[in-house]
Amino acid sequence: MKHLAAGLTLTAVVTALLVWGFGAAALIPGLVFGALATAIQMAAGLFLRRAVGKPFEQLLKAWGMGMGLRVLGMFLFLAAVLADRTLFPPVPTALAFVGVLIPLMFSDIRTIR
Amino acid sequence: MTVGQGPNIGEMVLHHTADAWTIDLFPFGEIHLPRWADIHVGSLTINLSPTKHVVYLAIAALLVFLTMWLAGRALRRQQAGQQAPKGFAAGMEGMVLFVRNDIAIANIGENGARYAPLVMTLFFFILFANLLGLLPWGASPTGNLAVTGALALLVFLTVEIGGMIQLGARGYLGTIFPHPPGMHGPAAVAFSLFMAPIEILGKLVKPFALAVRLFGNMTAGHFVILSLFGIIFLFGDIQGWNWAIGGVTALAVVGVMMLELFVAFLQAYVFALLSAVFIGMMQHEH
Repeated sequence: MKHLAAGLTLTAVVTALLVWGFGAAALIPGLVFGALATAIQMAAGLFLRRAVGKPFEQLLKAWGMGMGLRVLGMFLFLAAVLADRTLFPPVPTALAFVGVLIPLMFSDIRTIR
Repeated sequence: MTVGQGPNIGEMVLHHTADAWTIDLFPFGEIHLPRWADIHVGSLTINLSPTKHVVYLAIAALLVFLTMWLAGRALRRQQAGQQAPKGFAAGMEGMVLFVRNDIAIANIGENGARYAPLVMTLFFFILFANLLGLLPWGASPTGNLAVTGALALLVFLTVEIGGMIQLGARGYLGTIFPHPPGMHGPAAVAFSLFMAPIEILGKLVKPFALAVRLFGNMTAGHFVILSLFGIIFLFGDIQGWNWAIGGVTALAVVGVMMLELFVAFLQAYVFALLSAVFIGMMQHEH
């Protein structure tokens, strides 16, 4: 729940910054890709927490699955931009995704520790 | 940008690397730094208005202070609780001990501990200044020859003044007017006078090399990254290839950024190491 709250707070902050910088057009990409980044991090965190304390191969596999989800998020970004460039302008959409995902990734360190 | 009117990549690269009176925070606008009046010293006109690099120098200095202060506080708390150093404080302790023991003391010798604070300050300050250029909206003050020149001048003065104190007036003059052991009389004087320009040049070349090496390495990395980005603008409008060009360029930029991360640490290490070596050479001059 802590990660979800952090993700949603970050989504709100990043979206507000993007709307300030790029105008109202950044509102939907900010909310959608901020929420997507939060969902991906929640799933990746879940995989990792389940593997903590198990053999190293399983921990590595769980971490790899999380990273795979993050790469999938990149492809979703590409798909969204290609599908509707007006609704998902590339720069605000990319910034919304990495702006939420990267700070949340630091929570993985705490989980592993 | 219209088709057929390509962007000026050179101008774009210089705009991002050169010093300026403004800090660009796209898309949130830009900060205009205050402009102060010129100061006239004789025929010399000096302007001390803060520039982008001055602001980032101040940020680097603040980060060095905060890092060391927080690490020191955490270490004291852990020691008071009879705990072994851990986490961030343990990491910083490892880096500080490495710079102190393996760079300063190992290369300067018995006086190494006396110069260790200077070498450590140089290492961490240059490291933070280098790393600031890799952050969004950031700039590397070490990509400015005036900054690296000032740091090299500091090392030069330390080497020479430290040498004067350690060797005494006669010993220090011996580093400018050397003569081989056993040579006396007019031959020794002639030899010393002949060697003096070479020795003086040798003294000046060392800080010059320090300044240019750090400046060159930090500037070159940013030039490579920005030039690679320029490929997108130059060839990105080729139909059917634009996504491939964008993808390959982005991968290349990520690779060079990772190399730059390594170079930021390496150049801070090289500057600190060579400073310690030059101080040590002068301290043990015969």
